Amino acid sequence: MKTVGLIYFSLSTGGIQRGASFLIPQFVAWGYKVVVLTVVDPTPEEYDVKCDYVRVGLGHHAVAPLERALEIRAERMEKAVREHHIDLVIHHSPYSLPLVRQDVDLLHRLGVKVVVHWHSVFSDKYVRGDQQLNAASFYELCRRLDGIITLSHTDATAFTLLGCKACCIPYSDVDLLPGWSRPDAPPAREIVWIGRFWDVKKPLDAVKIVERLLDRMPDAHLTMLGRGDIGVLRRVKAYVANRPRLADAVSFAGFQRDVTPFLKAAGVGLLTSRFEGYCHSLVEMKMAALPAVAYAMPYLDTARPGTGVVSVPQDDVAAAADAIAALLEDRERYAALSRDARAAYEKIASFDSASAYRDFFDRVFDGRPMPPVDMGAERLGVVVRTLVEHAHGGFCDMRDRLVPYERRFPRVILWPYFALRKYVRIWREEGWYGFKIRIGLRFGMKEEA
Amino acid sequence: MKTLALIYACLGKGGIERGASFQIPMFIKAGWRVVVLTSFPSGEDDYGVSAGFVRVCIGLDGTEDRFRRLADALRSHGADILVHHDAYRADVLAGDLSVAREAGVKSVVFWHSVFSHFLLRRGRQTEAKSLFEACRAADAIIALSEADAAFFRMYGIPAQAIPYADPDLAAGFVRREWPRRLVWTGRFVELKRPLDAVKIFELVLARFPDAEFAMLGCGDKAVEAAVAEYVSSRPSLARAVRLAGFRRDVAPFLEAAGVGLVTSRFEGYCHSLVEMKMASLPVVAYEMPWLDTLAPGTGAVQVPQGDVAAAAAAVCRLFGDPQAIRREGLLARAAYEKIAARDQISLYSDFFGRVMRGDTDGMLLADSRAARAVMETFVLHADEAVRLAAEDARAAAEEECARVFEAGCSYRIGRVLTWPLRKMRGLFCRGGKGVSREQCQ
Repeated sequence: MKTVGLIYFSLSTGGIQRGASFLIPQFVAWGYKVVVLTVVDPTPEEYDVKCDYVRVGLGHHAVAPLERALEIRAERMEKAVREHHIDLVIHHSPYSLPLVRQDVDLLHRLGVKVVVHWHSVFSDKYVRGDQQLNAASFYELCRRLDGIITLSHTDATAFTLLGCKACCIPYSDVDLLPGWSRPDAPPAREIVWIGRFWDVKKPLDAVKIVERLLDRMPDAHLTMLGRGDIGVLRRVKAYVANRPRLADAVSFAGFQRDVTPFLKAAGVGLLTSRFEGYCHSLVEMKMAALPAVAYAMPYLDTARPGTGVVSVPQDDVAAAADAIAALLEDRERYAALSRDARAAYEKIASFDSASAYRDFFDRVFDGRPMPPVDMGAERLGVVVRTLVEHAHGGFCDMRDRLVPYERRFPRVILWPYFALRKYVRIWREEGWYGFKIRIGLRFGMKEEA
Repeated sequence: MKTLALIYACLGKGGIERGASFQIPMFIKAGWRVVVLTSFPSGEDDYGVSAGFVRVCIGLDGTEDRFRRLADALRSHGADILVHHDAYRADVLAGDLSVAREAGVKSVVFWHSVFSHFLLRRGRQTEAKSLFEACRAADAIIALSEADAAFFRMYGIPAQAIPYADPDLAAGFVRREWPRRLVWTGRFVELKRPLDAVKIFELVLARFPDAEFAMLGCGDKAVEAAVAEYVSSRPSLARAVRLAGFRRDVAPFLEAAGVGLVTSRFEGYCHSLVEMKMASLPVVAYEMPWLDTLAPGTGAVQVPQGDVAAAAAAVCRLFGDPQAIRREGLLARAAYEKIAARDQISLYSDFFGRVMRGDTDGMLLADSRAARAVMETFVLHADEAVRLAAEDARAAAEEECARVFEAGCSYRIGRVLTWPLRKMRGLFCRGGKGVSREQCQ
């Protein structure tokens, strides 16, 4: 029996953690011994992981001086590897280059195979418009890994082209609505948006889409599920509060562990992300046979044509509103898309993850190459267009961040006030632990929050 | 007989125009009628292109007049295919291609640079996407390397790599020795980094005091002045470096040299490099892995981009090892002969024939090796682009800051108070009025 170590940042909120909640039990069911190594200690908001596994805390790098935090992480990881005889580690949190580099070096030194589970799109490094970007070093590190698991075939092709050993093993999300079928009634004018409140998911766009939709359908209603960056959430709420007709048309349901009542009640799902690696929300909408309107992400297997998703160009609020209205007004089309959505989910659920992982692990341990990836013209086209599109978006962001001095000047003067206000709010909303983490992240190393 | 309409910015200086100087006669020789449409009228620096073609000045970029003149020229000369050699602005390219389409003329974009070059142009990183989208209106793309062709194929635009086959400038020349003389040819612009070339030579000179260096070309006056200033301020360099300016005939310089140097940040083809190979010169170049002309075994040594010390070490190794310099020199000439052996006329005949027939589907398939080169090139250039963008952001913020302060009252009072001190510094320091702090130090 092999022992698999899974490194996560935390096990609460977010798609990566949502995946963990059913991936860990799956591994246990397939006969692997599982050791979960997390940066964040257990919190009440964690997803339920109902199986027998070992949990080890690596310590948060933001609550101690960086060098010391890295030492603690290395010590704990080494101890866990020796104590539990870990054979292979799947790194689910590869977003900080120094951390991953240290982990890979340490684990290779201990004779443990290291695999990265890439949860985002391959061009994640570009689309974020990060001025600290060092994609070449990151991809160089990826080449040293024993394998990369991607969630879409486009990502597998891209990483293979970059010289990595990549293999696509998509999730097969557990059915949250077994036996439930969408009633054959006119679709409710209820739109559901699920995700974290941060800029990448563009929650404000969702509100603007509904605002536009209200012109055609005054009874339309949007329910937004999720939490995230308090600044973004506040901006969205302020936008709604300043527009009287939106006050009744938009509800904020916060983070919900059980999203099924919302999916059942909804008539259309809405996805406004700038990019995604897989998108559990979209798959959950498919489970509920819920047609979705989404900003175009052609690299995403879950958003391909014929899977119950209507794609509109990125940032095109008007097109998204029109697509929702058209969908709700055309019952036949709605029914067809609803069937497509459920059929697409059943295809996802029927994927034999156990065999895929077994084959992948065998290849990693035997040092054999990964299965050939799709190098067809269509796939290569998606790869290169995604790269150009995401680099363009990233550079536009970088350019737009050049705030004119005149506008920055008052903020510079009032900086102490803004900083104090921000951290007082964090302390009140997230408590002492969250406060410590945020301070550490601000002045230490960047890592997903 | 087909009529080709070729759009160029001009016909003087630079690699694109160098290519025109032998491509136009080649097309005429092949029996095609050629109409050359340029943004600028003919000038003194035009490369000598033999007669036999019509030249029409269609005016500066992006104006209605330009599009009208272009439409008139295409109609009056009965053009069959438009080849656009000036695809650097999306709006102009889109306008020109639209005029061609309305006139019923097939259009081809000749992509001269590496596909990712916009990433490396300061402040222009966001223009790439719109330019690629504008290229979609063309019937096909001609690229100069397999990696560039693969990029456009992957992007969904039919493309074919048809590298130049430069005519032999050193025909009949047989190299017997490789003197310690370095040569650099190119435009004096930031992207070609001529100052790096001088710095490389400075290190070479420390090891080989008898070494010499010839730099050919002209360009941006500020860059020219910076190079001249750097050279003249160092007596050893002033003795050994010759700034020869723009030369239409570079053969004597190449024949007199022992090693060629290329310091460009990027190139799409690089005639200078091929010309060095013609003269059996081994070349030391900054790394450009997408360039077919820098492939291993072609007499070229690649060193990391911007690594002056590594480039100098590579030159010194060649200067210090007669066997190696000879071996690399002969490899360079052999590589050139392979380039010259390409049958350009049949390649173009086949390409234009397919474009005219609309049979371009075969130009959409990229092989995985070329696709890998595309990804590697993109990653390399995107990282560099981010560094440049971050630098630009800092510079813009500082400039903005200075502008705001300079407009303020306190700044002016400060200037008045410090006027005597600044005046004294001007008197005592070299250069007098307006001298910079760096110069004073």
